[in-house]
Amino acid sequence: MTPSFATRGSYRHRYYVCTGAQKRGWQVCQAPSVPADQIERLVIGELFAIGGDPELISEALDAWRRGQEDDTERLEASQMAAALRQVESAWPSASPAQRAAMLRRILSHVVYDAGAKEIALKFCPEGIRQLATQADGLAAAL
Amino acid sequence: MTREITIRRQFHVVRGSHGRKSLRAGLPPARPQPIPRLARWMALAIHMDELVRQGQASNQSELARLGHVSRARLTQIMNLVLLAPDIQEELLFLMVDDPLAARIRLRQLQPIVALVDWSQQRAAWAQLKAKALD
Repeated sequence: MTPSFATRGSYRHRYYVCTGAQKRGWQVCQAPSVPADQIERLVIGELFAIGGDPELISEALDAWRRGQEDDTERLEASQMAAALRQVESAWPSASPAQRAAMLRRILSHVVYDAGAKEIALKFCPEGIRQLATQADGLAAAL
Repeated sequence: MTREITIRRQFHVVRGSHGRKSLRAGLPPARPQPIPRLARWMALAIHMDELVRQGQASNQSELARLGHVSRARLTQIMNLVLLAPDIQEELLFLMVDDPLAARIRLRQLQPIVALVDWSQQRAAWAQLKAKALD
């Protein structure tokens, strides 16, 4: 999906549009467009919920490690939880640009599947490791 | 080589005012199972009987007026409290997927409530159930 907007008077409606629907027609996709505020609120809520769920993080890391050819890129569940907690605590006072920078650091992309009613959050291990290991990781991200 | 750590999360769509959709985290909450009409009638009869006993409604006529139903209809409903306690319980706990729920009407219970003897009521109830399940 790609970000887009429409303006009506002074109000700007932001939404995400399915690129497949843009190219091949609205009928090819179950959710050709999604209001931006809703999907963003959902993703942020889930991000913070994951930060408070060490079991879920461990499961995801186990699956990730199984896909690794070597274990040079190590990442512990506690590191990931700490990085997500840092983001959560900084979130309320951060500006929109800072929020975007934080998300770019930890998330590589988000996959929205309207049919399966599922979002897949793809985390960037390098960014998470940097946030967790450097005391000023968050400041550097901002 | 897997470069990213993937975590999948479920969401559901809720329709708000003016049909506006909003996305909520997690699976949709389970919808409560509907209650069969007979069970509703039975519960209503017990509730209204309590109202009259406690003096919150002076009599059945007042209840009929408040409920915008005829006195005859209210009598049909209120008569359910005359059933044997075990039959009342059976009606109250009737599940929506129970075939009896769809096959027995309030009208069919009226001859049973007219029986004064509970053992006769039980026999008539058993007969009605058997007939309904045939």
